[in-house]
Amino acid sequence: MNKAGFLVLAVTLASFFASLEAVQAEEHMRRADRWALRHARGQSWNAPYYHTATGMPISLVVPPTAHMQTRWGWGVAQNTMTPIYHQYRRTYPGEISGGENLNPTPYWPSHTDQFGVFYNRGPYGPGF
Amino acid sequence: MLRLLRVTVVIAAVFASFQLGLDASNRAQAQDVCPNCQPHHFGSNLGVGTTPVPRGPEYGQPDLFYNFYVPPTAGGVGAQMYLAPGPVPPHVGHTYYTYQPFMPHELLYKHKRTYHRYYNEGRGLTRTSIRWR
Repeated sequence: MNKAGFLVLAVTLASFFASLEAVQAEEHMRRADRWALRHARGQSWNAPYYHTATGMPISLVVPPTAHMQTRWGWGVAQNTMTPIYHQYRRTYPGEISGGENLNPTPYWPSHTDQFGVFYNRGPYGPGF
Repeated sequence: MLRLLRVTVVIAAVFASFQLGLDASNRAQAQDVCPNCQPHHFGSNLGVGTTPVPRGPEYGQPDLFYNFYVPPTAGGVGAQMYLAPGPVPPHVGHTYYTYQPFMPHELLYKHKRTYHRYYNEGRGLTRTSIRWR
């Protein structure tokens, strides 16, 4: 095998494995999104606290590629690291309402949830 | 050398198929399908012995603005991405993003997408490839 042939073969193989890796990453992302969607159907994106400035929970949009969130609380073993399950989608869910049973931020907050700001992942695209 | 060329062609074909599959997830329609529009058939007004029906210019029907939502689940509150955390009264007014690639949520991460739209009864295609870096 001459040098040119070896070079062509090496470049082809490198491109193939790079493509394969990208496809695997994409597949993994789709699977993780399916799991996240299933979890999101069973729980609310917000804790029962509203933001002081708005009177409603605030959704903080993060990239769809963000995976995990950390929530802090007072006391031993109160910090948690959980996936960001909820994601914005195109489907219109009806009138945005609710918020009747929400609590204000306590005078002495003991958890980051009590500030009324919660992460939601942005959409992947217009048809998502 | 011939054997090497054959192997390279096979590997390149496999690579190309993977590449096509990867790109398929990054496409987007530049507009929704119009549910009330009459379907156009290629050459439908060019039948023998019939008078061609004049037709005017066609325009796309893009959304002026569309929003994204998180539905209320498990007794929670719903959320919408723009005009968050809630819609403002009509007299306040707000700004539309009429060019979808400029919407702020697209700037949050590195990705690429191709928007496409057919026109002139499928004879023409407008395609816009965008990379957010």
